[in-house]
Amino acid sequence: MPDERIRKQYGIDEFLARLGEDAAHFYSGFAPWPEDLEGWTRTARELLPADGERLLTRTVWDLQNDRDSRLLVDVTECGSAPDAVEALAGSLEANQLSSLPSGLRGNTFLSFVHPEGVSPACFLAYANLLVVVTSFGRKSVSVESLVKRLLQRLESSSKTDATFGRLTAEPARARRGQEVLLRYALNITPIEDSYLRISVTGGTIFRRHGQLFVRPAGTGPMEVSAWMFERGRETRSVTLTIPVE
Amino acid sequence: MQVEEVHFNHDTSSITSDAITIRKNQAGNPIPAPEWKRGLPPQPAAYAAAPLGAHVTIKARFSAGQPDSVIKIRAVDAWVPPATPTGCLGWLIWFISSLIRALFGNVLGDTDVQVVSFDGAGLSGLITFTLVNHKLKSSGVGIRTTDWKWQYHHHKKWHTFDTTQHKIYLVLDVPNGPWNQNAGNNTQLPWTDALDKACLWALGAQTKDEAAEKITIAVNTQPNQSYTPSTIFGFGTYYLSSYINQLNGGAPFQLNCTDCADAVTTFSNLLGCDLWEGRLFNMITRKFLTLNGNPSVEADWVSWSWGYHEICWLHQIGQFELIYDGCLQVDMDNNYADLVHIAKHPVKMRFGLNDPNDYRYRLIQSGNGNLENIPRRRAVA
Repeated sequence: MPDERIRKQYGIDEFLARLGEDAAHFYSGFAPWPEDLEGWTRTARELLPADGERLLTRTVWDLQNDRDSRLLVDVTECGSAPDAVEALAGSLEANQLSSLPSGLRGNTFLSFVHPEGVSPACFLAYANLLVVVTSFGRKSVSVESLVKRLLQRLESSSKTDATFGRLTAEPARARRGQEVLLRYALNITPIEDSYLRISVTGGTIFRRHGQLFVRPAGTGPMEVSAWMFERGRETRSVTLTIPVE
Repeated sequence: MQVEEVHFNHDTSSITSDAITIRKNQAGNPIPAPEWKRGLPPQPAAYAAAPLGAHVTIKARFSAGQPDSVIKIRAVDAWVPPATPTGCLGWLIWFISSLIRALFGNVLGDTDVQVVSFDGAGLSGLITFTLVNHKLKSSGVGIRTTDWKWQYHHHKKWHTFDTTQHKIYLVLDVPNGPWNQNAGNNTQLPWTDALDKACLWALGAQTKDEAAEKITIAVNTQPNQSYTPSTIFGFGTYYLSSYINQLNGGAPFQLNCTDCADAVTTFSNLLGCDLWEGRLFNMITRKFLTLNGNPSVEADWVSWSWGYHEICWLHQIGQFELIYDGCLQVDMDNNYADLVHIAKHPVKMRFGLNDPNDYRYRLIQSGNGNLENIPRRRAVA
C-alpha cells in the first residue's frame, strides 16, 4: 500500500471516501480500440500480471512515417473501484516527480498528469480501471485528447435489445450487505478487443479470486446490467434484478 | 551410427558438474535435457562458472550402432584452425578468426573417451562423458557455440560419424535474485531471452565487478531510449519481457530510474552479481547527463526535482556502501556553474556524503536524499 505521504498529497483517502456504495461499474477486457487512435497503428499488445489479482493490458501505438511519436496505453484491471484508486496511488508513488498536478476533473474519476515541460503522461482511476497514457517516443505527444476519448467510451451506454447470454446471482435473493456471487453465461463468442461492462445500482461490485460479487447497500431491488461491447458489432446487454431484504 | 541425444543439464539438483536450469522467458516451460535431440531444434544450455568442480560432465545416447558391440566414442572440437598465415592479409584473417573464436567459439573443449555398449537393436544407454580442456572456468561471460565431431575408434584410428552444434551461455556465478534454481515450472529461472542481452552486454567480463559495470553502461547507453519520470516497466513486478520487447523492437521508448535499476540489477544478477535496488528521497539534483545523453550536448545535462531516485547497491544499502546507477551519468567537473562537464558512469561508486568522489555529492545539490532501507529485487514477468 502506498505510503501516507502519497495518500495525503494526492487526496487518495478523500476520493476513496467519496466512492459511493450504491452504484458501481466493473469493466473486463477494456483496451483502446483503433477508433480511439485514428492514424495510429497498434504495434504491441501485452498481457502482464500486476500486483495481487490485477491484470495489465499494455498496448503501444505508433504513428506511421514518424517513428519518434509513440503512445503507450496501460489499462490495469483491478478488483474494484477502491482497488483502482489504490493502484493509481501506487502509480504516483512510482513516479519520480515530487508532485503531479491534477488532470481531467470529474466526480467519477481521479486523474493526475505530468506537468508542462515533462514528457506527457496521464494517470486516471475510473471504476475498476487504472488507465495510464504515456507519450512513449522521443517526440512529445499530447495524451489528453486520447484520455478524454477513452473516458467517453467508458462512460457511454447504449440501449439495445440484443442479448449476449444470461446473468445469475447466488443466492438469488440477498440481504443487505451480503456478498452475492454473480455469474454470466455468454451465448456468443467474443471477438478480440471486446469488453464487458457491468453496472450495479443499489450496491457495489468487485472481483475476488477470479469471481465476481455484488454487495447490496440497502434493501429493495438491486439492478445489475451488463453490456458486451465489440468492435464492429452491435452492443448486447443483459439485466438482472436481485431482491434485497 | 549417430548421436540421438546430448544432455547438458542432466542433474537439475546440481550445478557443480553440469549446466544450470533455464527457460526461454516467462511463457513456456523450463528447457529440459536433452538440450540436443535428433530431429528437434537444438536448445541452449547455460553454465555458471564459479560453482563448477573439477569434473564437468555431459551425457549422450547413440543409435544405429553395430548390434551387441562395444566401441570407444569421444567428441572433439570441430573447429579447424586457419592455415598458417602468410602476408598481411593472411595475418589479418588469422587474427580476426582467432578473435571471433576467442569471443564466441567453443568453451566446452572435448569429451573424454568412453566405452559404449550397443544392444541388439543397436541402441546405447545414456553415457556420461567428462569434458576435457574446457574453458568454462576461465572464459568469462559470453554466448558461445560448440561444434562437436563425434568419433568412434576403429583400427587404431578415430572416425567421425556425426556432428552436433550447441549454444552455450556462460555466466560467472549462480544467478542471484530475482532469479533462482527452484524446481517446477518456475518463471524465475534464468531466461534465455535475458541471457541473450546480459551475456552480450557483459561479453568477456571476468569478474562480477566488471560484469556489473558493463551492464550498467549498456543499460545507460541503449540508443533508442529516453527518460521519463514515471515507472514504465513495473514497480511491484519487473516487466522484463516488455522491456526486452522494446529493446528488440528498435523504436524509441521511455523509462525511468526504477526501470534502469531493475534492468541493471536483473541482468547483473543473472550473471552472478549481488546487486539490490534501493531508493533515496527528496532532492534537487545537480546537473547530470540524462539517460542515453550525449556529453557534448548541453541540453542533455539536466537537473530535476525528484521525490525519489532508485539506484543499485552492491551487497546492501547503506550510507557508505557502493552503488551502480544505469539511469544517468554524474558530472565530475567541480564547477557546476560553467558549461564544462566530465561525464562519469556511476559504477561501484561510494554513495557517501560530501566527498567529491561520492555519488551523493555528485548527484544531490539540495534536499536530504534520505535512504530507504528496503532492498528490492523485483520478480520478473
